[in-house]
Amino acid sequence: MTPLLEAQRLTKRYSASREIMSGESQNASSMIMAVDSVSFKVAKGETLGLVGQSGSGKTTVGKLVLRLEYPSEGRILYEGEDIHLFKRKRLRDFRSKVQMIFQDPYESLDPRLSLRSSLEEPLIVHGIRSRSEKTLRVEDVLTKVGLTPPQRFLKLRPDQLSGGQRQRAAIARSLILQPELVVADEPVSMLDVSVSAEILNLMLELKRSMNIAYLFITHNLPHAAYFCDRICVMRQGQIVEEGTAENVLRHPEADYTKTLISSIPLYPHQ
Amino acid sequence: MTELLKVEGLTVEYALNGHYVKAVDDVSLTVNKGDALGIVGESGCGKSSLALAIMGILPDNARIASGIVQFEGEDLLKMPQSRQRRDIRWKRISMIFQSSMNALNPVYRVGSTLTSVAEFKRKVSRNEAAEIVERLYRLVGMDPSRMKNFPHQYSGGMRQRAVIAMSLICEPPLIIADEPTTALDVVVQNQILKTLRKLREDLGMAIILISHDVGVIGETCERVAVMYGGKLFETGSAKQLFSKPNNPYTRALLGCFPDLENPKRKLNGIPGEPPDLTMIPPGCRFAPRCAYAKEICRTQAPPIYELEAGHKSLCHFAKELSQ
Amino acid sequence: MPRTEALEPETRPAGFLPSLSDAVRRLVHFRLGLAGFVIILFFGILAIGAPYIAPYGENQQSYNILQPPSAQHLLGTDSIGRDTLSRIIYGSQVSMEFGFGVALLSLVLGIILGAFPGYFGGLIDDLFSRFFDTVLMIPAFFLIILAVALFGSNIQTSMLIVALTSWPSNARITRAQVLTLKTRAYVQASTVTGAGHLRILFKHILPNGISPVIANSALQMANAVLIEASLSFLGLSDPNHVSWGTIIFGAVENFNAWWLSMAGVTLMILTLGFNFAADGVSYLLTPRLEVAKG
Repeated sequence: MTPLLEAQRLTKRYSASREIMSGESQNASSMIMAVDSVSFKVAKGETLGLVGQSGSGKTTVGKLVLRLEYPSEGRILYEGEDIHLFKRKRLRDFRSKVQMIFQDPYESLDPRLSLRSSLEEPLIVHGIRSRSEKTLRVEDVLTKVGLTPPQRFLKLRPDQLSGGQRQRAAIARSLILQPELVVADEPVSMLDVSVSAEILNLMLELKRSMNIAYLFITHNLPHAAYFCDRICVMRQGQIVEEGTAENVLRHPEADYTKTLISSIPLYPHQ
Repeated sequence: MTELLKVEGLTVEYALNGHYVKAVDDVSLTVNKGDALGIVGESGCGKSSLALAIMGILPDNARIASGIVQFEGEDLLKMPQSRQRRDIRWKRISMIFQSSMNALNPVYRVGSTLTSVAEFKRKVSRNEAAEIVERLYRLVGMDPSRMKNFPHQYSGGMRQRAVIAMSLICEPPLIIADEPTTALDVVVQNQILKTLRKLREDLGMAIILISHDVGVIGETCERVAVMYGGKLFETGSAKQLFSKPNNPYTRALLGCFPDLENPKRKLNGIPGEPPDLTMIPPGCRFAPRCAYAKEICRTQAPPIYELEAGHKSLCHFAKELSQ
Repeated sequence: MPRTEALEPETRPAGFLPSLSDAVRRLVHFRLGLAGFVIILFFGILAIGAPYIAPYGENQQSYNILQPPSAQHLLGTDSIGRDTLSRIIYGSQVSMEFGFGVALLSLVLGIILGAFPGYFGGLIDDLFSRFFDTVLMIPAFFLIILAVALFGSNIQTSMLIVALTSWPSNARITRAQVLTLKTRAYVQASTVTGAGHLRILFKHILPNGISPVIANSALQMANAVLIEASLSFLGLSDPNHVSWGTIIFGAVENFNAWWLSMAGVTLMILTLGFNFAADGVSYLLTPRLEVAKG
């Protein structure tokens, strides 16, 4: 059974020539290895978590999967095909099936456009121009994410919404093309905890009803354990542990994972 | 006397489009010598404004509408800014901010910045100041040889330690830390919190720790205050609040944090939005989102109910809920 | 990391164009910017309505030579009896045309030549940056004198030359804005949903980044007006249309006719107007905190 998404020895290097590094000489090998030979698979409808702290390379992996950046080495396969070989029609198809939700609810949406415009854009880009069809799909997706009544929210601009509402709108945009895979990079990190829980539950519900696979990128291990089927723990560009959510949390094997878990602050009686 | 800080009836307002909005509404709390008080709340609840008001550094568009902030017997609100700057700030009360790491001047060596502060605030010679800073570096767990580095050569955690060291230069009896670890890696956060606990043991200072993360508060503080919409909804010891949370908001808030023992247990968020402070409804400001709300909650402001010594809850049904 | 949403000043991305009602409200508070726009509007009306507003014709001669201001001629007459006030009013046509024409052309050129290199980066970007620097070195004024010598004095040619030598400043600003904005999440989101480069540039990036360029354009208008006045002062402008520079030259020729230098006052006011307006546009971009009383 071909996995929906597969990363094979994915590597990404950036040249550090523009950084001032203390005590290190500037030479050709001062490259930053953001992602170091990362491999993983995501099956249809499955949720894989990439958990790591800043600098672990998790966000870069997300960008590589979305084809926003090119890997230095390795491949990304979507339904068995290398995504960097996609051209035109196949690329367009890929762009409708794989969507994203990013971290900052204040930046995910174009501040000058109404929600309607932001949500309609993916439809227009993929050839759906009939006014009635666009309205139908936009209202449908707004209802799905809980921004009801949709007619009221369509007219609003991002600065008229709260952080949680903006993130819901960003999720709505990610759904409008009925994707198979959504890359969510820290979707709740900038939201209040009460709103985060709601958004995570919404995403879980959508996963079930629309059979969406998620690549869930976060620094928050408990959230990943809640949301994901399987988790990969990343450190300095490498995957140090992989397993089901429960196993990684309750029976960690790698030292780093153990350190990570013991660092999580807990209030007494938690 | 052991009482260090007493805040009574503090109300802070911000100017917004010609109206005034209450960010902090009639808040009272006490901090004794050596206490660790945690103020927990979500964004917009007023916790940062509370901290700024105590320090006397509110922005221009804010004002203190009423209340007393009594520190070591004197009302800080009546003290002129010049005296506050000279005698109180950084000498008796220090503050650590969320983005403190950016408070270090990038063109000066970190040691130099701290030494200058020590020279100025403690009125000592440059050499004596350098010695003080060296001692502080060790206290916060850093190698003094790093004093000669620039801020960009430090990691985020180290910068935060440097800032903590800076706040300790005059060994103030009170430190206010506003989300001091939020921008840090969870592993680094843990180390910093450990350092803060150790510093308290070594130096005996009181600390007001502000955070949205109940785990951070729970690991560090003995007393906790929960803030929502500018008001204190529940106050008590950490034990009281975490083992028998009374207030519906406290309960709801705790339910938002995952359980590591049972990671798939349903996380309950709190439906709705935080209150719009420009239009505060009559009655309890949590009522629109409260699972226990009844009619009275929407019309009458709730009283502060004392459950047991030191444990208070702002709710009409505090008594019922405690059973 | 949750942000304190409720009470922080509005934070908008750089270059954000506010809504019209918002803009008007802000401007009313910033009197200087408002004054700038009013001045521009005033001269615009003068320029358009010159045939109806001016008491006399543009080149209407009379026997009242070099008369000081009087009831019939509010700003006196020049050496062949033409009414100064009327000529100043007609002169605003040339100034406004030159100012707006140059700025518009420079704006369009600057945006296009700045946006594409900024967006695509790489070699194109490097090449264009060198190109900007080179063009900026060209002295517009001398080029115009050369052109006038070769092709005769023509307002369109002069406008073209000034625009062709001033677009790089707009291009630089546009490029910087594009570089910043192309990393924004909503731009990446558009890419991920399949939007093409043109759509992203013109629908997402440019509308969000254009405001500083507009402020710069206002300054370019001021500069263009001054260049035009200098040209006509030197006698290098189109002799068919009166310009403020020509009138001012009249004051130099006829030393006692001080009233002819009033064209210099209008020149100063219009230039200031553009400068204030540029400030006004910049102000519109920056949110302000209200100061709490008490």
